[in-house]
Order: sequence, then C-alpha cells, then structure tokens
Amino acid sequence: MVPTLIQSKDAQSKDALPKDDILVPQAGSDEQLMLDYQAGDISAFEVLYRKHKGPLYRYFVRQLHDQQLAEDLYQDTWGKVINASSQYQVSAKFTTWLYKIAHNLLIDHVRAVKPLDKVVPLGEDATMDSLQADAQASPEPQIEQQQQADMMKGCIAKLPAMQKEAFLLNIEMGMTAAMISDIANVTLEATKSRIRYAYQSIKQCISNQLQETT
Amino acid sequence: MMNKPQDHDAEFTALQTEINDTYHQQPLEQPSAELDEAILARARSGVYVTQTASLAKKSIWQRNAWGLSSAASVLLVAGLFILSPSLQKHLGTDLEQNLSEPPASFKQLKSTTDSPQVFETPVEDATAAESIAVQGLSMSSAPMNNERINRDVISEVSDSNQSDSNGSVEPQMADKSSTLMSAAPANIKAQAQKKALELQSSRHAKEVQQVKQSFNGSLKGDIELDTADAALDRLKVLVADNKMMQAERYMITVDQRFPELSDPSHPLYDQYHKIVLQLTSQ
Repeated sequence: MVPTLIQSKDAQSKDALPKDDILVPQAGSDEQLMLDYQAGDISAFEVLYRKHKGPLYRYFVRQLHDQQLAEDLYQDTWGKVINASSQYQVSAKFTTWLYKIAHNLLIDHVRAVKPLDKVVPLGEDATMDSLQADAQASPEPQIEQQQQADMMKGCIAKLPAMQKEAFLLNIEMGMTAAMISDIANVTLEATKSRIRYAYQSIKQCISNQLQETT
Repeated sequence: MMNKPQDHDAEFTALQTEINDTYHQQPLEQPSAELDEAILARARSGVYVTQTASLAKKSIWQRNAWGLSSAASVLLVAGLFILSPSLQKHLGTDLEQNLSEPPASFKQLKSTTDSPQVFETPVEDATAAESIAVQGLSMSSAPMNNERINRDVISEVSDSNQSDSNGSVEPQMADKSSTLMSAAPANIKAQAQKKALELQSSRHAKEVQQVKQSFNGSLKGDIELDTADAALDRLKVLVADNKMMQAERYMITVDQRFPELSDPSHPLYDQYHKIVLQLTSQ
C-alpha cells in the first residue's frame, strides 16, 4: 500500500487531536493491544511487538552506522514502552507514541553526543543531484534486484538525517506527514518538504548509480 | 496553470509508488532472535512487576478496607460512648424505655388485629377507674391522659409477663381483658376502684424511682439539671438529709457548673452562700 503524503482534511484534524483527549480504541488495534498488555495479557504485547519490531529496528539501523548502538536504542525504546505500560492511556495513536520515544532516544543519545551521520548534511531544499555514487556502496552486479536493493540502501544512507527519518517513517509505517511532524516536532510543511526531497533524492541517486554501472 | 500542481502531485505519487515497491523488494533487516527474546522476557517481567506492585499497594489498605473502616467506626462509637457519660445515660434511658414500652408498630399491630376491642376495654376501664378514683379518693388529682394510661397498662402487663416471649403477651392480655369484661356489674365499681388504686400506686412508685435515679446520677457528679434553681434544691435536700459528704461533693460540682451562683448579684446567691458556709464550716 502506498503511503499517502498529502492528507485529507479529516485526516489532518484527526491527527491534530488534543493530547489529553482519550480515544476509544478499536478491538485488535495497537491501542487495544497495549491496554490488554497493561491488564496483564502478555500475548497482546507479543502481537504488538511482532507487528512493529521490523520497522522500528530499521528506523534505528538505517539511521545509525553503529549496529550495537542501534540495537541498544531499539531495546531501550521497547523498555520504555514496557515501563510506561502501567500508566498508558490512549491519548494518541500507538505508533505515534512509539516513534516519539524512538525519536527522543535518538536525539538524546546520538545527536547530542555523536554525529548521526558521517554524511555531510544537506540543506532542507538540497537534493542529491550533486552527489556522486559511493564506490564502496555499489555492490557487484550479480543479481539485478539485489543490486537495486543495495543501491537503494546506499542512497537512503546518504540522505540527510532529517530527510532520512521522515522517509523511513513514511515508507516503513505509511505514516502521514502530519504524524511525522508530530513525532519529529516540526511543522507540517517542513515535513512534507523533507519527504518530497527524500524521494526525489533517492530516485536521482539510484539513476546516477545505474548510469555508472552501465 | 491549474493543472501544474496536480501533475506535480501525480508525478510524486508515481515516484512514491516506484520507490516504495523497490524498497519493499529488498530484504529488510530484522532484529535477532536473542534481541526479541530479551525484549519479550522484559515485557513478561514488566507485567509481573506491575502486578506485584499493584498487589503490594492493595495489600495494605485496599484489601482490608471494609474491615479496617468497620473497626474504626466501632472504635469511634465506643470511644464516644465511654468518653461521654451523658450519652451513656441517654442511651441507657432509651434502652430502658424501649424495653418497658412496646414499639409504636407493636401497638399499631395490636390495633389492627382482632384484639383491639379486647385491648381497648381495659384502657377504657382504666380511664373510668381513674376518673372514679379521682372523684372518690383524691379531688386534687389531675385527669389522666388516655395514652399514658394505655402505656401504663401495657407496661404493667408486659412486666407481669417478662419471662414470656412476645408471642404469649397477647393471649394473656386477652385473658385479662376477658376476665375484666366477664366480671359481674355489681363488682365493677369495686374492681375499678381497686384498679385505680393499683395504677396510682404503681405510677407513684415509678415517679419515686425516676427521682431516685436522677438523684443517684447527680450524686455521681453528673448534673443533668439545666437550672441553678434545681441544683440548689438538690443541694438543700442533701444538707437537710445530713448527707454532708455527698453535699460537699455536689457543691463542688454545682460551683463548677453554675459559677453564677457565687455572684452576689445572683438572686440565689444568699441561699447558696448560706449552704456553702454551712458545709465549709464543718
């Protein structure tokens, strides 16, 4: 399913709900699973974990070069979810809450201490037209699909941190710009720009790499 | 001009679709099984810790809330009862009254059953006897209230049947009334007079008992009297009976309760002062 970037008015107003409002969770939703876990149902947490583990793991792994640090932060995120489960209230979407925790951990533990990326950050409006393909990132052309996948991975890695985060949240979870702006605590317009530039940059990067290989 | 943004959006949507497809075709990284197990184990212990914490919190107060609150209520009532002798006395009096008087519901029940007519008869007899007694024996006696006579008769009957259960009271009352009803007209006057005398004497005995009770209560140091006049009268009675020790104690109590008696401007000052002098000079 293609994540929608430009939201309808309804979707925007839904995401703009006050944080103190208590939502009524639907049966089987993430929020309901979290409430079930709060009530002591461990299987509810297992379902929730299985659903979100991959995207969240990649959220960290693809934004960090340090695999161990990525795994630590991934574990810390779930630890925070577990610890906060006793006081959990359905005031927002579970995914928004989960990725806010992840985002804050990333900010606290990485950006304040270490450089997030070794890549020279681009400006908000910059694209990767000027960038050359990374020779190390280009794999041997054994399988075309694998080649493209690796190219994409390399291109995602080259994205500026802000764009990368917005892109990963959009492509992995199908999050709307409004949700991403809530998580990253930036304006909606800035988020939309980040997502748009991220996609364009990746497209350009892959094209450049394909040209080079041919 | 208007189609340009739409074309732009369509282009971007196509781009999104293309990249999204490519992205999800690649093998996506997953956390290791060890990492999964560590997090799930933490989640299990998290639930255990939360449940244990909530149980520990509940164990102190919430689990025994009813028991503790009941015990606290009993202690409070008992404490009030012990600390307040006047409350004790009131409760004791009420209990006595409840024991001697049948409840209103009991009376109503009697009046609604077959026995009311039987029951009314001794009351009417008693009223008649009372009026006869008033006319014949004592012209100064005030007319009696029907209700009060009624109560006296009931208490008399219940007193005489204290050992019986409540269920046996009614037949005996019926027996008594039937006995009264079956008496010969020639003897009615004599029996009525006798009854009136009995009633009068029992009432008098009760009054004496009440006075004695209140008097004993005052000797214990509890002053139920609301006026200094009554307290002074009691004190005079004690002095007149030559119960000097009791009078002295009572005087101290009166002094505390009615300090205005020590005021020379008080109308009872002279009398009180005289008794005080009498008691203190000994």
